[in-house]
Amino acid sequence: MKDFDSLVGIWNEQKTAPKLDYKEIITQYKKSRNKLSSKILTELLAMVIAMFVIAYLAFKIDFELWTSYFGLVTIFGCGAYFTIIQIINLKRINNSNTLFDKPQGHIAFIKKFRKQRYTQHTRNYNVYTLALSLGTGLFFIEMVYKLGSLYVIIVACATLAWFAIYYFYFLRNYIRKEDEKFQEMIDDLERLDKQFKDLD
Amino acid sequence: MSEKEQAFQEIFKANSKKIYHLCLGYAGDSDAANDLLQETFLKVWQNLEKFRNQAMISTWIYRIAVNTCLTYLKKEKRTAKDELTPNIIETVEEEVSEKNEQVEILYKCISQLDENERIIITMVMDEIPYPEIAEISGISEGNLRVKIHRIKHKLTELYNQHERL
Repeated sequence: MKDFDSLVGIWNEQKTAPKLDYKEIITQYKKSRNKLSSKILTELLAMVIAMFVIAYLAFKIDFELWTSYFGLVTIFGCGAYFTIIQIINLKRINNSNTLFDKPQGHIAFIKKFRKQRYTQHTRNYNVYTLALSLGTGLFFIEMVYKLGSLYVIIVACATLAWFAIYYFYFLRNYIRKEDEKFQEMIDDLERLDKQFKDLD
Repeated sequence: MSEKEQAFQEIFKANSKKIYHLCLGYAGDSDAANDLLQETFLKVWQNLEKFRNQAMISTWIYRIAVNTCLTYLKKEKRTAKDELTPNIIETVEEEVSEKNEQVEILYKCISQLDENERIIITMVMDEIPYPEIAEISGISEGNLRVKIHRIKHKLTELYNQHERL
C-alpha cells in the first residue's frame, strides 16, 4: 500500500523527457508559416485567374441574353464568397488569442468556433452549391442558341449530372461525416466545460 | 542567435520538462505528448513579445499548455484511456527497472482520471504552488484544495489497485 507522498516520490524518479529541442520548434514555426502563406497565395492566384476568365467572357463576348451576364455574375459571386470566407476564417483564427484565457473561456470560444464552422460547412455549402448551379444553368441558356442544342444538351446534362452526384452523394455524405465529427467534438468540449464548472 | 531565440531557448530550457509531464499525463503517450509540447511552445514563440514583461512566465506557459491539451483533437487523444504505448517511458537502460514500472503504472492511473483531474494532479506532483495552479486552471484556491484532496485519494486508490494486480 502506498500513500500519495510515495507516488510523488515515484513521479520525481521518472526519466521521461521530451524528444524536442527549441530549434525544432522555431524551424517548425517558419515551415508552417511558409506553407500557409503559399497555400493562401495559390488559392488567391487561382481565384484571380478564375475572375479574370469570367470578366473576359462578360466583357469580350457580346451576349444577347441577360441570363448569361446574370449567370456569370452569380458564378463570380460564388467565387468571391468562397475567397472572402477563407480570409475571414484565417483572420479569425489569427486574431482569436484566447490562449491566455481561463480554460473555461478557451473551451467556450472553441465550442462557438466549431459550431460556426459546422454551419459554414453544412448550410452555407448548400446555398453555395445551389447558387453555383443556378449561375451555370443561366449561363447555358444562351449557349443553346449559339452552339447548337445537341452540344449544349450534352454539356448541360453532364454538368447537371455532376451537380446531382455532388449534391445528393458527396455533399450529403460530407455533411453527415462532418455532423458526426463536430458533434463528437462539441460533446467533448461540453464534458470538459462541465468538469471545470463542477469546481465552482 | 537573435535576442528572441535566446530568450526562447531559456524559457524552453526552464519549462519544457514540466510541461512535457503535464502533456504526457494528459495524453497518455509520448508521441501525443511531444505533439502537444510542440504546439504549446509554438504558441509561446508566436506570443513571446507578450511574455517579455510578465512576472510569472511559467504560469502563462502552463495556461497555454492546459488550453492546448483540453482542445486537442479527439483523434490525437487515441490512447488517453487505453493501454499505454510501450515507448511511454524512455528508459536509459535496456531493461525495464522496477522504478520505471512504477512510473508506468502511475501514468496509467493518471490516464484513468478525468481530463481536468489529470491536469491538476500533474501540476501538484511537479510541486507547482497551489495559488499558481488556481491561476492556471481558473478556479478559486478553496475549491482547488478540495478538488486536489479528492484527486489524491482517487489516484492513490487506483495505484494501489493496479499494484495488487
